[in-house]
Amino acid sequence: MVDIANEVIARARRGDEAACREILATFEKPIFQTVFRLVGGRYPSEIEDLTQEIFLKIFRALDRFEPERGVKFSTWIYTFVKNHCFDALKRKRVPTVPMDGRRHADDEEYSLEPPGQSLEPAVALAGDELSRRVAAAVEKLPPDQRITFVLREYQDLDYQEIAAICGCSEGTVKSRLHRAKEALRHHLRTYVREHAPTLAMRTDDSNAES
Amino acid sequence: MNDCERHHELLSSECAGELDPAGSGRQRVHRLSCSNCRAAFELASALERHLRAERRIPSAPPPLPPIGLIERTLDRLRDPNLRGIELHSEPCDDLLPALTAWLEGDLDPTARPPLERHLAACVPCSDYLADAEACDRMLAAAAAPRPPLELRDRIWTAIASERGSSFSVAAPTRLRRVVFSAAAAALLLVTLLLDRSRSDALPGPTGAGSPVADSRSTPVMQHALDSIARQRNLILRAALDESQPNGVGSITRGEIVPVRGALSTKRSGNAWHRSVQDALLREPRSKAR
Repeated sequence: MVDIANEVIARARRGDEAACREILATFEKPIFQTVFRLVGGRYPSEIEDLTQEIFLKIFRALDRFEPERGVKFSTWIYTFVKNHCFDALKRKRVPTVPMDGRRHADDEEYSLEPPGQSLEPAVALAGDELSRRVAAAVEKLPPDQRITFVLREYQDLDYQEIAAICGCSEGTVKSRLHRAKEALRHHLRTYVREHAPTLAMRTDDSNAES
Repeated sequence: MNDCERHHELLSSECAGELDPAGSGRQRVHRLSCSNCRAAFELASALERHLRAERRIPSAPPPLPPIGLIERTLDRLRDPNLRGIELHSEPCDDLLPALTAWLEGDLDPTARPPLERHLAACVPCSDYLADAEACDRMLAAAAAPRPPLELRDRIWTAIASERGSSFSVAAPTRLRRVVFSAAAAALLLVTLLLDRSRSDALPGPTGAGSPVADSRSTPVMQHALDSIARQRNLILRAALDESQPNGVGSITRGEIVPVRGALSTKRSGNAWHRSVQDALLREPRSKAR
């Protein structure tokens, strides 16, 4: 898990430029990737814009961070990431609810396109097929499960931190994580079974090519 | 020893029914106040119940498969149109919590050996576990793209402009440092080459110093410019390699414009790489000329 020395944060709060640069350098990649996994890889510029907006919020609020109160800096930072991404998801949802409200049944899928197209735009960002599949499956999770899964599996935060970020109990974090994993295994099971040999072969091919 | 440790110590004998009433009473009282131990107990007792039921069943011989079942199954497996078909049933319901705990890596060590024995005998459960583990590996292997190189500059500019004049806007990020150092190296190279061409020309046997030097300096300049282009691209390439270990660098790679179009970005990554290698291999020969 990424974290930063308290001394650096203290200097950044006093307006020290080098310390501020260090915070940006440390958290740029984790935040960018978390935003990608939370919001989805459709529009690269959207991920970049959200990352920038999150950093602006963080630096505006830097004075309000109080390490004396026992809050970890990473917890504090990821709270901004979570809130900002959830706002973005809500904004994106608005045009997807049709006038007759027929789609309420599968609201939790949060998908903008019909399933067949949902993989396409992620091509731009997520690289190989496997990463695209996973990104698409993660995107199908309801937001609460998604953020729990992403923070635990990819950012390596502990249950306590995730509970603080999501404003829920550790027990809730555990059960969300469990449901997220069950859903992902369900989504990916057929793909894993069918493609495990092909994926291995493809790695050999790409080695031979280069 | 604290309460949880004592509870843990006595858990397996409690589940096997080997604990005296006072002991199991103390265990129950502790569980009322401790959710972790309660969960551990529920898991262990579910496992114990399941395994006890299994021990009872095998007294009757397992029924023989119907005639022809094996052939039919093999046919279905061979049929390319029926791939991915579910041939096995679901895992044991009551063991799902134990299997999940196994996958999460927080299965109680005392529950491990009995579960392993069960997995050796139960195909649906071991299939379920194998699938889930393959899936988890896939989830872990999935890469997220790296932020494009210029994003940090962009964010910094935004932060600096909000802070007013207290922060400098120009950001000496890695990319800029790389380009600056490449430019500095190239400048040095040009100076050295020009020096060499002069020292070659001046003590020439014909005595016609300056015209020879002028006519020679053009290809020398050309060579120097090519070297700059090559060197810059090599350094940029090295920077990209460092920043893109997963090979997902196409976004940033496309935005780097090579000098003089000698190495076109329109080529694919591999071709580009190869042309950089070629340029590198050509260099000693052109120097020897």
